[in-house]
Amino acid sequence: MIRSRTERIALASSTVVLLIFVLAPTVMIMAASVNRSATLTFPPRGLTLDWYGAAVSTLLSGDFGGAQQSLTVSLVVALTSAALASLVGFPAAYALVRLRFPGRRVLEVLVSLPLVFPAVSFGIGLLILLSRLAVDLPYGRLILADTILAIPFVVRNVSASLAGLSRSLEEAAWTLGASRAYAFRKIVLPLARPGLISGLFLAFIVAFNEFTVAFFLYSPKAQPFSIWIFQRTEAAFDTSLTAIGTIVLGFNLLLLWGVQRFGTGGGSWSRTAATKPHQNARAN
Amino acid sequence: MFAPAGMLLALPAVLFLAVLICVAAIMLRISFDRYTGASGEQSAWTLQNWSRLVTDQTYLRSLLLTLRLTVATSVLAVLLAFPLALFSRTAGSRTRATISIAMLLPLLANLVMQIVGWMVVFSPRGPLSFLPFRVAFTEASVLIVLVHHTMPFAYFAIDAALQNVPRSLEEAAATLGAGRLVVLRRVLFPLALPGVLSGSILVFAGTFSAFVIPILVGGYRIPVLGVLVQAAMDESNWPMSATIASALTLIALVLLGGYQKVVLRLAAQPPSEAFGR
Repeated sequence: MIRSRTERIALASSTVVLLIFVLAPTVMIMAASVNRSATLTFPPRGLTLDWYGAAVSTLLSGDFGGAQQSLTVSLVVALTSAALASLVGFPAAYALVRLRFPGRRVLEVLVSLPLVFPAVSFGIGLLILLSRLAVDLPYGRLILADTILAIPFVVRNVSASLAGLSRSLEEAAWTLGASRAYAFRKIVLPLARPGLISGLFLAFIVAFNEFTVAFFLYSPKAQPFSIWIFQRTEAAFDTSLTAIGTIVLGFNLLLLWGVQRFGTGGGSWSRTAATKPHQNARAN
Repeated sequence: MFAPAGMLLALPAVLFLAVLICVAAIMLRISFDRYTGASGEQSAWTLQNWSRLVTDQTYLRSLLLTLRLTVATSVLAVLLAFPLALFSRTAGSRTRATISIAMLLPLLANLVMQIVGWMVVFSPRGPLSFLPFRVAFTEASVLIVLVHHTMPFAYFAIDAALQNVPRSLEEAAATLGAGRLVVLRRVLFPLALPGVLSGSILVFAGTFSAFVIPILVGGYRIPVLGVLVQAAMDESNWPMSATIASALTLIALVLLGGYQKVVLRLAAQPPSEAFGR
């Protein structure tokens, strides 16, 4: 790489400025959470951990509009949605990468649809649809929405993993007498694992933090945590919310780190799902 | 493997995703219903809501505001993401992973909490308090947060496109006497163009229908289309609400069509092909 010093300095400094911009709100929340002043000031005036004490007691109590219940709702909904999205996303990704079949192009488009579908339209539309069908499922509708929103993340990551491994491995196993199911379990599944892990984690993060669609679909019976945070912010902002925010963002960061460490890196969610079926794929 | 196996494997996912189609269809149907004031709506086939959307001052102004914000956000997101992608292209794997986590954060971490963080930034005693004008609850503050939230789309798309460019191309251009700026303009930028396009389409889609950010950051003072969907719903004007929501969905579908085209071309095009132009 032939690069002048000026160029390196220009690129590196613009990167630093951009990272400051990207991390600004997170850093602000963290700074406010240890600020002794109860009003939002930056830089902090004096340090304290009092807000964390308040945050923990809020999260563990049933008061404050049901923080604990909301947290439980979000965990249940996010875990179920991530599991469902992986269950239906994995076979779809396998089909997209490995097989030729009528409707493959339609599937490709469908899989990208949740990424661009306006969240407001989805929320209101699903609300209308379910009320017309007279379905009243406080948890079910949240899980349905979050599963749909999480499917692209699973499919993209799994197909990125599958596209990278050669089909001949699977074929060699068949030739050597392995059944399809055995070859799938012993060859495809282990090799697709990084993509599956990334997909699961990202699906969980998406479902756990989802706000706009939940804003239209939540009910007193099932109020997700992001709605709870929103209502607390609107009602009366209190500084212990910044401590809760730091805990939530820390939890998110931990999950993203997990994606990097155990998965494919997560960046591949944005890579094309339009991978061609492998060269050797036969339409027999 | 015989052909229908793929269809069978894809079926569960398709069933879930088909819900989106049903949602779009039912909203489109309701957008033709008649709103009869307090008594609610009446099943009909009228174009009154759609004609209101394109003639009523409130909606026209909102459309202009939304377009302005969306175009500005897309341009800024690409301008900011491009140098970052150029940097991470040659960075070590550890730096790349750090940048990747940092970029996933605004996209995926709790949005409400991040908006609270931005409120600290914009607050009268925040780090921007030295500015001679107020930022909080202005169009500018909404723009900043929209760029922050959608820039990762642009970054990951441009980064993916640049990943496919072999370094030897740059070196060859340099050997043939091209300066760095020429390499950037004639080699890297054209090859990153599909990424720039697909990234800005995703940014555009994410911004055009924005709802939470304009409401919370703009303090209900920045009435973009997404906000008006809910405003109409609050007045129990479901047909109007469904009309705006359908318009947003139709725009998203057009964008998806464009996205698919760009992505397919990106997947089909070996790096050397673009070089021969």
